[in-house]
Amino acid sequence: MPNKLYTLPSFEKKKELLDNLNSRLQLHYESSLEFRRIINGFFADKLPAKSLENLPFIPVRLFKTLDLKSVADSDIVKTMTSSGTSGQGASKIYLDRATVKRQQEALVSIFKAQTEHSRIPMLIIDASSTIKNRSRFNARAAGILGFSMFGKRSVFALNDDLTINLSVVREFFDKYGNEPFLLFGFTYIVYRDFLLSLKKSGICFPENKGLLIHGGGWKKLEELSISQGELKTLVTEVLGVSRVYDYYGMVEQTGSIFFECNKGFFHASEWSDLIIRDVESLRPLKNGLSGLIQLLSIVPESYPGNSILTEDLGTIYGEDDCVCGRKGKYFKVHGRVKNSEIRGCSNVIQN
Amino acid sequence: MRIQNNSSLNILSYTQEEQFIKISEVGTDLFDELNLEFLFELSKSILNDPELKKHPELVSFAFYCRRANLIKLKNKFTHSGEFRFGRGIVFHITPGNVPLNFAYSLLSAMLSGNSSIVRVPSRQFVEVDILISRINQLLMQARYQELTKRMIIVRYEATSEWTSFFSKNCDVRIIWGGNNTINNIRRNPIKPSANEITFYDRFSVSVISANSVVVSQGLSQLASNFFIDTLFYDQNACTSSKQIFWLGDTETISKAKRVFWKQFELELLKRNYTFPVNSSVSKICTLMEKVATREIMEHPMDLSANLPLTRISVSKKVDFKENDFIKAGLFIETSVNNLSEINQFLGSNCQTLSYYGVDKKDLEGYITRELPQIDRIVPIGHTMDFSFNWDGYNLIQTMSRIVELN
Repeated sequence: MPNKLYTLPSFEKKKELLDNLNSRLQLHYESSLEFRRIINGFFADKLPAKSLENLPFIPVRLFKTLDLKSVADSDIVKTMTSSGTSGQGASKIYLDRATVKRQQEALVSIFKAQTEHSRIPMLIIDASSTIKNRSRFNARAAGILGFSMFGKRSVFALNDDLTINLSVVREFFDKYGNEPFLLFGFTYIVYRDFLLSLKKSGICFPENKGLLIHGGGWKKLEELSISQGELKTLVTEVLGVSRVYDYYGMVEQTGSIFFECNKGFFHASEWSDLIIRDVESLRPLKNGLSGLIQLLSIVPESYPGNSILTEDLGTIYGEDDCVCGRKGKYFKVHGRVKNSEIRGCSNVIQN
Repeated sequence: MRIQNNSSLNILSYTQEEQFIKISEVGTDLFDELNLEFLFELSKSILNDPELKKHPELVSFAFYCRRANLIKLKNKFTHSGEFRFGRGIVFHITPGNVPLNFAYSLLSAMLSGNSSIVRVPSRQFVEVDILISRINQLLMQARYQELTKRMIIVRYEATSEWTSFFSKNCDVRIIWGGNNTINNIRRNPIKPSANEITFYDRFSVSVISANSVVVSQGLSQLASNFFIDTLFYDQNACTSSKQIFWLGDTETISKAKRVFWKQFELELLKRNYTFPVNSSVSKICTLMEKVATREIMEHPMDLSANLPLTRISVSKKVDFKENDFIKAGLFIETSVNNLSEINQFLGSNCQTLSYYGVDKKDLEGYITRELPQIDRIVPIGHTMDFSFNWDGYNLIQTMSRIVELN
């Protein structure tokens, strides 16, 4: 486990990460039949890779269509699913005890480095029913459960129908308004079901020491078309909270999330890294260019999710030289790549 | 039949009445004079307009409707002494992404003596707008008044009741494809006497003689033809070739592939072809799935050299499913020694086999010997050519009825 998160200079990080990922992918190669066939078919002689860019990768969509795991079924303690947005069902991520533990370690270290807090009172901006079924849960539940580690006396701000439970919310702000506290939720839930409702009811809270962490739901936020800046302004105005942190992460790489720095860039910690690839050729792109985000993480053990090609577009703006002082690559996410409408007679008027 | 117009129906063709639109239910002769005259004039109005030269799809439709061609087709598809008439009203559901498909569908119904209700794509295409406005200019003339009751072109929301209404009242329903669309539309019953033409999801292939490619003087024409057949519609038309059978010995095939694909890449540059956004990921997902499940087990493929134009060699039959992404420049290649070997790779949904450098005699032999499950065999470059024989249907016959007199 990395002990420093944003301090390793690029050449050292690259070497450590590459060694780590090479050995992890080698283990998946030995334990997962499907993964081995994919490597043999498309990345022959690529293991061990000589550079991060040369590491084999698999598209995240494959977690929807294939059962990818590197441990025996009896070792699986949890199956996570992503919301199936593209109509092909949900991703299935199989976790064993060790991977669950690594996810927590990663999240704890990244959270601490970001907030300098360990456990503080927490208001979860969601309904308690979201996390009811614990054996199979989705990205939203995974996020809530993950971040609940940092909460003391956590309460849920929303009722099961996603309306605000105003008495709980008021009580929380009354009680903890003078000490650091944590608000956590999915971006579009925070915006649509919490901030907008409060604003509509004319409720706002005085300036306080709270912090808001949100993430994950920006795909839906795009549809509501609100910018990050507007969101922050609204948070400060309504909740009295000035520390607002967006994070970027994938259910396929739970734990090793990317927090936004105070300059507005997501940062790769020493748990993870990323490569931007050209949408057409899938070749790696130089910093400054927009392309598909490939995510690298040393967290996954029970499934071959250490190097995945997402369908999100992003740009790396630099490495080790962000004005915020953190080392590592810093980047922005532009949203989901939009598949173009294909000509031809197979796509017909939907009826 | 009468349509009581309301706001949920957008009627694009010219009609005499606005509120209660009459549609003639009685079929006429095949290739009847009024229809032919109308089509000749429509053809002229497009071909004589230099402004429309920049719409090749419009021009080829007009070219198809010129007098010489339709008279030739009349001779081919009508038989003296045979009493054949249109079945009545044809309800056309046309594909959302091929602008002028509706025109060929309408043409077939007209020449087989029917009235038509044509649902055109909700997406706006300039070619569709132009053609409809040309049709309307003619319909407004007194001598074509009768035809205003024989062609109604409409748009409506999928959620409206119109599909159900038109289905109930038509004599022929024609659904231009997509298995999902067909299944959805079929929830709406048609009359017991009505029949239906469905164009389901198809798979098309090519056979190329390796030797002919190696010695060819016309490679750039071949590449251009192959482009028109495939990537012009993002390789997503039912006629678009997805698998290429290379005919010849190993050495000649590898030589032929080299020169052919080099020429094809030049063709893509020449035409400024842009691959559909995110199609590379879709392609590798399909391929990786097939490799992970051992449906494809071939030599390793180097991704970096194989995108966005992607080729994969297979030597065993692969069962491709509806959701598999074999389009936008993903070609499956297979080497064969002779035509008969192709059969073992074909499923029951093969539509078009297009060929290059293969003798027509050999193809005739192939058809009679192997009875392949293929609907049409045409030279490369002609897969999009319309014919009244389509997907194994004779459209003129299927949309008409025959009276026997003994």
